[in-house]
Amino acid sequence: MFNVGCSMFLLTSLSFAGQEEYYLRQQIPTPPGEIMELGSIALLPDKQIAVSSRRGDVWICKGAYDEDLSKVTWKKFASGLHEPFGMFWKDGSIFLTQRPEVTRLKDENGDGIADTYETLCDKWGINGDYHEFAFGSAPDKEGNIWVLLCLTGSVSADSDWRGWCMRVTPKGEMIPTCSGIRSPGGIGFNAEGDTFYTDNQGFWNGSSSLKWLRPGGFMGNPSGNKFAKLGNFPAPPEPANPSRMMIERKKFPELVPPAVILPHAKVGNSPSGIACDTTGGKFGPWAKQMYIGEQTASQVQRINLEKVNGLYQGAVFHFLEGFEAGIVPMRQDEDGTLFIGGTNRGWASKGSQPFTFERVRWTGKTPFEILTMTATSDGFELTFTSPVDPATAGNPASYGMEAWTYIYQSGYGSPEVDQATPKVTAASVSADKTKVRLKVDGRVQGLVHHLIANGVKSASGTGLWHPEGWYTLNEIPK
Amino acid sequence: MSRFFLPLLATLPLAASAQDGGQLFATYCAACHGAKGEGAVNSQFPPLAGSPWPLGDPDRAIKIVLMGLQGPVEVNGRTWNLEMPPQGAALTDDQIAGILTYVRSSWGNKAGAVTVDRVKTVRASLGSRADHWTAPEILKLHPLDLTPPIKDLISYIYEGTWQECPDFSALKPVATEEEHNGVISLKKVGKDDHYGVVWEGSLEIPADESYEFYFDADDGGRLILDGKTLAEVKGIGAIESRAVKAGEKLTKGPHKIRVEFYEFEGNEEIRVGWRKKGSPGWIWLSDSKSTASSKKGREIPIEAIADRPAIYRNFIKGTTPRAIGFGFPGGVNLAWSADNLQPELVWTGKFMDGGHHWTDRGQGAEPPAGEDVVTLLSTKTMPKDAQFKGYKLDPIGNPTFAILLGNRRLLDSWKSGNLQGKPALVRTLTLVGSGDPLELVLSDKLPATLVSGTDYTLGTTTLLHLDQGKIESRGNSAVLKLAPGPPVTLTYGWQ
Repeated sequence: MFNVGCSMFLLTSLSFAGQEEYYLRQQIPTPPGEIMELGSIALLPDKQIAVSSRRGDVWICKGAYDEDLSKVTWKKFASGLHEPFGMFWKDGSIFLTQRPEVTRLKDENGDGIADTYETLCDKWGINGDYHEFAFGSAPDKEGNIWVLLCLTGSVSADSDWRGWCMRVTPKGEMIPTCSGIRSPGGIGFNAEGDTFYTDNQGFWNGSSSLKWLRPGGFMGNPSGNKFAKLGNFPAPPEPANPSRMMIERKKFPELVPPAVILPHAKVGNSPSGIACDTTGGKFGPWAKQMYIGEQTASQVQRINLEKVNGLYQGAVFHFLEGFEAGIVPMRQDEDGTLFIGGTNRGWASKGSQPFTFERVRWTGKTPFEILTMTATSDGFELTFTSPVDPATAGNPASYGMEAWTYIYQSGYGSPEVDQATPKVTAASVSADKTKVRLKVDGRVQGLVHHLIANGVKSASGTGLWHPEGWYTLNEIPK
Repeated sequence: MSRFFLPLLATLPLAASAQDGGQLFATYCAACHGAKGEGAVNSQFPPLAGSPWPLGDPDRAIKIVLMGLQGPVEVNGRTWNLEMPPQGAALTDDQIAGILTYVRSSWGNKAGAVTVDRVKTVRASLGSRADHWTAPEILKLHPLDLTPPIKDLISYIYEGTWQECPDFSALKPVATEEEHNGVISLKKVGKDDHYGVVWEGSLEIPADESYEFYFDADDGGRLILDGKTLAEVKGIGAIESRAVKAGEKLTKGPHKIRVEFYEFEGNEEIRVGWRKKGSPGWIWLSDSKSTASSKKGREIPIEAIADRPAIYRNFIKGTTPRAIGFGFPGGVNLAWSADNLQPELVWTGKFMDGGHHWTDRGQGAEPPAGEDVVTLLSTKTMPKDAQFKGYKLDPIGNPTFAILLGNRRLLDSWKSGNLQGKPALVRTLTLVGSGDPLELVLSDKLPATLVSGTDYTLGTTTLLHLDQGKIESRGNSAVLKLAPGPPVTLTYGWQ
């Protein structure tokens, strides 16, 4: 019998040692003397990158894709913006979402400095509270920008529309889209163009999670509900307190359960930026998977999503670490390069620097990992990045599993509750040895299922780079 | 066949009864407080090891864990200003008891275990309280058990009029006290002027190391360690500007410390501190501390560079949240409200200090950094349907704000200029479109008084020069009728 007891910290240190074999992380030099606490990253034509800082500057970088990063050059494009989070380039302009508005920046006279600061939409309330952040997305398929309005003090909704997600059209109309937001860290689309955001553990959020912004949906925190009448929006749910997501979901169809719970302190403490890998294999085999930034632990986690019975759910795995400051914005280019920005001011983070701008590239070597974890009618199916050793991968004892959920309550966070002990009773390896179907007894709908696959080896005898995954089982497929 | 064994390090933290304090600490607390309680990331977060905060009365620690702590908090002489989120809804009583028992008995900390019952009782006593604690609030309820900074501290008070340090050994004290709290303080002297104090005690040095000492006095004095004068402030004068730092290599163990002080007249203060060489903060032996270093670090002046004005969009005190600040060359400044769509504050001198908003979480509003702040407007005077369309910058960065009024546009441009030989703000207003003139309120509280021609005063300190037209007074308001078409230029100056 294998021991499946494990320690988070031991596994973390094992995985870090191997990272450079698969992924090369490099710091990109920033303008000397400038405080580049990054809040946004945008990809521009001709291999240029624009970044925005929390001090309100927008800088454009040339050379961030080149081999010799010591030769990068920077030019300050704009300044005096109010904490932008979310920036993109489109049709010759840079668009960004800052605390008070969505703004279009343009250099009309060609001197390299923005001279147009056009206000596209400023229709939400701000009252001087520092926590009333606005995070904005890149344009969706219809050209709309999705803006998340963090709660006042991250607790209440003292200004118009705090706690809501708005779509801002190219003409600047503001369309209330989802309610129930608490404290976002980032926003992005999956490969299908559906919108997701990370919401931090806190009031009404038992743990941090990746949530699906289904239009008309309620994300869980009722503090901003009162603003529905400002926009003729149907009143969002008032959930019972304390309760469970499974119970309240049944009462309120608008309540969208978190797609992937990021168990607090185990996966991370403060999730942030989102990037979806649509590079078709330039960053490893993680086709269409999502990368999630983590601000406290300065890491990137990896998520595979699926849709079951109309709801998104999926698994999160640890992926990259060692970044020099807490990650906030992330952007991936078609060539596979993943750019990240980091800052530790006000929300201290792991890493040696107060701020950072980095890129990560795949070395071309694929780590032995669980590629996907999906739900089946009687268990989970795992696919692997390379063939497994059937003896270990086909042995149920190679897998441990535990499950729990969180109280859905108004308080700040929640302990792990309703623990279950699902058991892997069978593991059948596919003929090509890249898939394993696990039969699991005792799964419970609604719980996070933590898989520990310590015993699994690849055909060449190596263990998994990250042997743990956490699957949020919102729905059980038929 | 090779087998892959992982050492059985611990059972997974499942049921409440099998809680291992150390493991729980590692999972829930170490990310911030550090694996060894040292304060993670080079003490970016406060330490728990060697800190008096988790020790002594367990209620203090229990309450902080349950409700969180925000605002400045001092631990062993250094101040942090972060936010500890409340853990009461995320951790059970069992877990909290286990964690605190572990913290109170690890890394040199020595204090009794915390029982589950105690956590239960304290949680119940907090009732429906939902707010974070602040350090002053929790310390009022549960003061720290602080080891006296100086052991066996005795103070000797002398009377006399000195403008330099007397030879205290030749004098007789009028009073002598044991200072059990071990802190050098003038609070108990009972006199304001013409006195001297000598403190003597024992300073426990933790290790063989290089140390630094901080000494400052109003009016003056000496710091003497093991009979050697390390620092001296001579003559008479104020605190802060004559502070002295001295370095000394010391061995582990007790060292004789003697501080001599004299007060001539006026203010009186003494500051004595020490630290291991290279430590970021001072450990204060006096109740008075220097705040100079912490304030300097927070000053980040924002100013125009050459011809180009500085822009600062943030919460500016005295105007609305959607404030857009422009600091023009020549020391004339503007805060324009994108809520009310009008200029609200003008001032001279320094533009803004970014140190407030750009340090830690930067809560609150920051006032203009200069002088002669004039509030032109503080209520909404634009028509209800007015919409902000943003601003454009000319080639040197001067702004033109654009406001949509129905099917017309109001353009509000600003730059620096001169009025009567002094720096002034030049404003050009253009109403693009057709129809009736716009009643533009220049001020809703400063009436305009005609001086001569097209020169006015606004209120008592602001000069206003128009290039054409006139300003009407309506009660306390100054109004300009702006016709569509040609621009009108106003120059705002200071008397």
